[in-house]
Amino acid sequence: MSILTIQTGISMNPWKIPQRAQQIIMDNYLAKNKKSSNLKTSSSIFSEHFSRLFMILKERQNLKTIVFTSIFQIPKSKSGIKIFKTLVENYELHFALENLVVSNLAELNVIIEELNISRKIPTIKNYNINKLYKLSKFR
Amino acid sequence: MHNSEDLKLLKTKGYTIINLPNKNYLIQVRAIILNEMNSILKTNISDIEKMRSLVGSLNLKSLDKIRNLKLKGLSEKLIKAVGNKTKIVGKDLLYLQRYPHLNLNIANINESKTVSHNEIMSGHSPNTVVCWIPFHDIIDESGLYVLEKNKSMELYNTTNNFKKIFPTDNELSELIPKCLKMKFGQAILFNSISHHGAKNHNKKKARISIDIRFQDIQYPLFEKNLDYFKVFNLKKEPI
Repeated sequence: MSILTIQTGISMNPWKIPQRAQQIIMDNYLAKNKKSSNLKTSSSIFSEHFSRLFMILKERQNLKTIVFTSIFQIPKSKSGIKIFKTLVENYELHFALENLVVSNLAELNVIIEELNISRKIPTIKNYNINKLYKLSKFR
Repeated sequence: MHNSEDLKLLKTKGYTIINLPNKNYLIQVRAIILNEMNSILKTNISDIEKMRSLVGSLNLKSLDKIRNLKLKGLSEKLIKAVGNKTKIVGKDLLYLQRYPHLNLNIANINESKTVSHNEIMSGHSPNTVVCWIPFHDIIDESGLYVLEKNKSMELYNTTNNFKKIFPTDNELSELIPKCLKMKFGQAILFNSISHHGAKNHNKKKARISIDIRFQDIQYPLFEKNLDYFKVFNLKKEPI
């Protein structure tokens, strides 16, 4: 079974992960699972539609697994999500940082719902520890 | 104890000891962990006290192997053990740590103990709560200590939140309280601000414990994000 790893743009809210670092994370994930990638590719940093990925998948029938760095690379837009969901019809999706494997639409929908919930409330950007203490409801 | 009293303690003291309402899930998790450890150590031990003795004699190499245990699927069981006590923290929808941490505190292996810290210093949100659960009774100083809230805050003020110097446990010895004594089936819930840690001990048996973190989804996450947490709906999961 052939494995593809895909780099995306570095901005994946809440993080910025350089593309080289993305590759290192994916390679490390695969190595831990005693696997390695057969093909390393990247997608446009200006689009959520993974058009280059779909072009490759069309040409390489032997690919069965696609590895992403994080679930935060799943598109935000409705059209992007719609296209992304078609991937699980034919491929197993792996998300290295979260150590997750998705092999059907129901599993992907759970993750998309998690993303929807977390994206509603921006993460804390404050690094003043005394102010952070004050944010606790358990004070 | 009623949840409102636990919440009050979580606010005023920074921690509370709860009786796990669904202890059977903890028993299941303990059995799974023992199986995994047996598989790594090539043993066949089903008694936790015997496993504690064996782990207490391990070297660093074996310890590292156990630390790499995959703990998939155990957070869900542990949070079910906490059951309606999760209501102290939030409603049914929670951020739940994807994979719990297994902790072994072994005599003479300094690095096996958790150094003193608070959760915010590790990148957790101010509203994350830790549930620390031992796999056996804790009757000695091998467990976990938690500073009361006012002492934690005093420590942060006097050290400027450890900005320049992180005092050693020896330097903090006057401040560090005794480890909390507990029965199997109990857990410590403590908030992100509470200063906590473990001590070196001289017992032949290792302390074996597990911990998970969770928080109400209405509050934002900090550096630990969905790489670390999943969304969990306790209502949808039959107990």
